[in-house]
Amino acid sequence: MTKEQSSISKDVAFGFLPAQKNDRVFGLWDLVLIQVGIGVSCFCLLVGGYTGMMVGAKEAIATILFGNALPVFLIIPITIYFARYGVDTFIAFRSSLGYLGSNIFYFIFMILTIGYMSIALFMAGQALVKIASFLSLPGFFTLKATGAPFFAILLFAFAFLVTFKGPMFIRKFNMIGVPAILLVMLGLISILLFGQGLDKIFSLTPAEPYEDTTRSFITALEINIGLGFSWLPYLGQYSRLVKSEKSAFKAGFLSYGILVNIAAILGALTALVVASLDPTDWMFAIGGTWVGLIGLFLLTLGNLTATIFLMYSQAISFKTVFPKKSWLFALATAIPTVFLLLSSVFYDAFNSFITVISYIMAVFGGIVISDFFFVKKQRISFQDLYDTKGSYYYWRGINPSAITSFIVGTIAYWSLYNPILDKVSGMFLYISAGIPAYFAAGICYYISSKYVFSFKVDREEQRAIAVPVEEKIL
Amino acid sequence: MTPKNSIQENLNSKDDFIRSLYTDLHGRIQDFERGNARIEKMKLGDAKGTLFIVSAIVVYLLIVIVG
Repeated sequence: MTKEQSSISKDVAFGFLPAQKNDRVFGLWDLVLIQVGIGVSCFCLLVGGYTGMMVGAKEAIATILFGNALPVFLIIPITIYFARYGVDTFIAFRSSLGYLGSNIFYFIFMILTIGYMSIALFMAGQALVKIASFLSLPGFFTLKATGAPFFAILLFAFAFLVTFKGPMFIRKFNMIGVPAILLVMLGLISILLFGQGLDKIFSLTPAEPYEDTTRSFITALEINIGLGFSWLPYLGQYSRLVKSEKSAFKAGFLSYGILVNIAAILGALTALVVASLDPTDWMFAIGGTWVGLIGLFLLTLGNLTATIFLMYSQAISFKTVFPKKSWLFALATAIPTVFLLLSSVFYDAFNSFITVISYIMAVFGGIVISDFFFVKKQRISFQDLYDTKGSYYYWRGINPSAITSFIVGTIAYWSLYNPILDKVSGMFLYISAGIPAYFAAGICYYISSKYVFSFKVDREEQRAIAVPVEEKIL
Repeated sequence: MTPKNSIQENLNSKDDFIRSLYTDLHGRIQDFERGNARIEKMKLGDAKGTLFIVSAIVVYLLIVIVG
């Protein structure tokens, strides 16, 4: 076994096995730093960009803060589960979704990650097109229609090679890439504060609002709610390695619910100034030629690092769920990303993508919270999480209550808002869609598990009440 | 363990990596069930700060909507 293969095997075993006491190395602030490093990304800038195109600065800050903090607050209690048992998302969700159901959730996570990778790569491709234009390269490289897909696919190939080399090479690359995106943020803050001034920014009007201001406000809110809920499959990765449950809870909320909003707010304010939602348009517009060039280079580097992180994350999670498959097979699951890079169609539809993700993750969030806290009452059979023929087999590997709740959550969301056609119902203007879908799925799951599809494992907590339960939160 | 237990099946796998993975897993499950891997539990009071921040954000949103 080569050194690279050995470190990949170690990562797979580390992701698959429950964390032991000596694996639990993170305190509250360690976890905050790691999660903010992961969370502050081009996606937050882009969500901020969409927000700043629809509403003014004051409304943008309010929708970003509320739209991220509340969904994260609703799903973050699940980190207690990951921390208590030391297990990752796709192992933990077996207790609510079933073994096959959890694998299906993994495939949804894969689609989400492929979507995120293609957004990051296409943005990097666009940044390189602008650099190519500055360098007066031939037309093929400077046109958005040809240059951006070309550079994006080239960067995908590079990311694939780096990821194939394994974690040691990735960690070295991350030491350059993460500071790059943080430098972009720092540059944006400096230019906005000292170059433009807050008074001017707060007096600006958005470039592309809806005719109705309420519609603009609630749509901006919904996009941010989408970003908030979209963290759900990533919560288990590091929460399982904390020293206490409260650290997982607080760090998850502070990082994904509050601190990553800085990037989104920066995105919104810059979009207001430049009147464009695309971060690659911002650099020359607010920084001038040389600062703009440096900004575009750093943005490319940051997006490339984000892609490598996402690609590795996806492949390792695949190996955690299917440990018998080869590393190359796991990595090959990222290849569909290339199809989304052939044109700007997917990149331009980022707002629809994030709202569809909002609906899916809101529904799953409602289900897993309802199961762990209200149906199972925090009592999980540790052995059955790993024994794929155990109690969480439910019906053919899927929990029927989860299916029912998914359908109910879907109806709730799509009857309020159709993110593909951008059509809304009257109620959407008052209650949005992601948060009601979360509650609809959660309540339906509780009723279904208790009174319709009631399995032995859902009733066991009733027997357990008679004895002291030391592991429950008080 | 019952004969149908998939952990038991994997403990006897011909693949060295799978066998060693499940042997380690088996040990860790036993360890957890003996209470050796427990960490500090969260109490409802630990969520007070988070609840305060969320409430403040809700109030800010309401002020922006009303204003």
